[in-house]
Amino acid sequence: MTINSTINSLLEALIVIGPLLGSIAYVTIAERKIMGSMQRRIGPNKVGYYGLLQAFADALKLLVKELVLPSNTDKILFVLAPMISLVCGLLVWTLIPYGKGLVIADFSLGIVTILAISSVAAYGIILAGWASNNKYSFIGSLRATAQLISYEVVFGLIILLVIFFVGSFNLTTIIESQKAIWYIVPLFPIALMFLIAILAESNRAPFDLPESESELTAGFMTEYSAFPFVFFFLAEYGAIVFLSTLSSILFLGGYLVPGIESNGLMTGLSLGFKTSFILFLFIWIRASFPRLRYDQLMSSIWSKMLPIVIAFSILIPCIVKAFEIY
Amino acid sequence: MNSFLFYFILVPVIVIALLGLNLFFAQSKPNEEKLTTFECGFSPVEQARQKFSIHFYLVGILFLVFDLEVLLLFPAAVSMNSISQSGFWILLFFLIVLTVGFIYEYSSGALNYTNKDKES
Amino acid sequence: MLRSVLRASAIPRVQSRVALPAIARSIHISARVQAQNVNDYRANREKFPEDDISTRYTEGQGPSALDKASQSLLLTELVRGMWVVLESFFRPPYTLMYPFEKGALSPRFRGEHALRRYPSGEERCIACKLCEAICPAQAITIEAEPREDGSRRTTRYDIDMTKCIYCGFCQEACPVDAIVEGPNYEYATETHEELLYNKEKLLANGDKWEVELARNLEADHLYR
Repeated sequence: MTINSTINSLLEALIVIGPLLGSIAYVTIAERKIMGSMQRRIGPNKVGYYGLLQAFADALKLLVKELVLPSNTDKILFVLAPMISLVCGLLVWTLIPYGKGLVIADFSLGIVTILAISSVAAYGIILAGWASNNKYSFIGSLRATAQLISYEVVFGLIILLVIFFVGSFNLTTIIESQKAIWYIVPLFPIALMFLIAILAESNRAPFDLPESESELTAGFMTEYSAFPFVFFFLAEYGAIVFLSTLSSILFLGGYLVPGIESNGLMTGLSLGFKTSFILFLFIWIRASFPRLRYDQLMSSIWSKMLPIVIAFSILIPCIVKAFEIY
Repeated sequence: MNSFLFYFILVPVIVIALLGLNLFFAQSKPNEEKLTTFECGFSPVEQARQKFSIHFYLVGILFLVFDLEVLLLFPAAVSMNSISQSGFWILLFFLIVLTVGFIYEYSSGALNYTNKDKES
Repeated sequence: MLRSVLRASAIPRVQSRVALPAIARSIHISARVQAQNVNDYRANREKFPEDDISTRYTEGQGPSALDKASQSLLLTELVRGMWVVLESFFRPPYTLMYPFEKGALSPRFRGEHALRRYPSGEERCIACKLCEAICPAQAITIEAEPREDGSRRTTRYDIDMTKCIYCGFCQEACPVDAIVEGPNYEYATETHEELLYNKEKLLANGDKWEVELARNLEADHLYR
């Protein structure tokens, strides 16, 4: 009986990790194909039918690449940093509900745990920049950290605004409370700002200053090769997929299908469609806009977005209290 | 909970296994040139761990203040239905004090990144 | 009604447009000109005068504070830019799958060199050395002496293709259309030596590409 339950648990964990890594692989292909189409190119189309196996070919190529440890790095931290990034990037997926009750860890403090784990992921970047002992890595990691923690404030405050409506940290409760209306409708400007904040959180264009290749080579990843590089890559794209999922849970009703009481496959498909839409938005934005200057990035967060969010964080509790929403 | 524990163990194991796979398949032929720190176009000249702009430190301090604020607001957010009128006013007072602090920061130029005169 | 009167009096309107506040002007420009060309913009302005932001703001004092606030809060400018990108997302790509598809070449295209012959098989080059003299990269080397039948021909005609800058002066200088630059551009080699062309190689090129070379010269002969 115990062996059965052990195998059961192992299968559950593998069922989350396997498709997760697969989805990250396909997000990279989707990005290259969509960016290609938006720039009137074709994109990868040689490996597999329609270029669908390109990501696996890339992974195989990187598998047989030499792992270079530059001589004046802190060897242990240098290898540890990408692993911290990837482990944190994968751990948050335990808390995502894929359907009613379809969640590995249904914590009552779910969203706080997510905030905690994603904060630890910043350590991976700091350590990588410090351990590389390289100017580009150092400046890149400083920039990345400053950007991450700046947008973490807005990110946290926006989640807080949603929590004011829900009254619970549990992600399933957050989704179930959107049965009447998705939170994107009452909180539309906030949802737009959340989109900007998650763009910056995942170091995406137009906020990709930590790895702006024209100035910093590859930012904090400059010295990395082979699989440590793949770890950073997976962590970055994993963060993109995760933040898309999170924003579809917070604002687009997660696994809910509007108007239908659904369960099973429908819920998973619903979450998948919403996440894919936001992922497409990510890629679309990357193809559309040029990169910001660093002072524009910092002033847009501290002197534009933060005042608005603080104003909303005073307004929303007042509304909640005045109308006795619970 | 059990499968959460499994996941917690499995993720680092997978990561380490992938790294081991890479070490197993990849050749390793290090040479001096390959192991030097990357620098664009020439050999590295000085230490990478240099002085950096004070603004990064400032951002760190500001982050501490505002993240604590968020942290203190989280319990208030979940207990909005159980707190009384006075609790609500305390929450608002807390937010207003923070706003005043933010206005002070803003007007003192701590958030100004382009003004060279303020730097010292 | 008022607007049509305003539009009829063209001169004050032009003056007032110059005096537009900077923000109104930038909105006005990005509103239409970005997405369509100027002619479309003018046609639309005639058709939908209510849509025309420029006339709206010349009457008043520019966009209202609410307009500006909602535009920046709802990211309208950014959405407009993203719409332009989405339009090209649904258009066909320009990509040319190079080794399988090739682009069109102008008859004046200057590729690999060739020495041509007359239809009788006699080589055209008369060793006047004009090409050697004009070559700015000094890539051409010619040696010449009279043949048994008394005609003046080259004994050596070398082009260093790694020196050549493909300026086309040699074919301009040639009085008998002997040295020409053909339409071939796929002659990369693995060694330097293979790119030091001698007379045999150039003549062989001429024999191989004669049809294309003749057609290109024919197509371009009016302009020479």
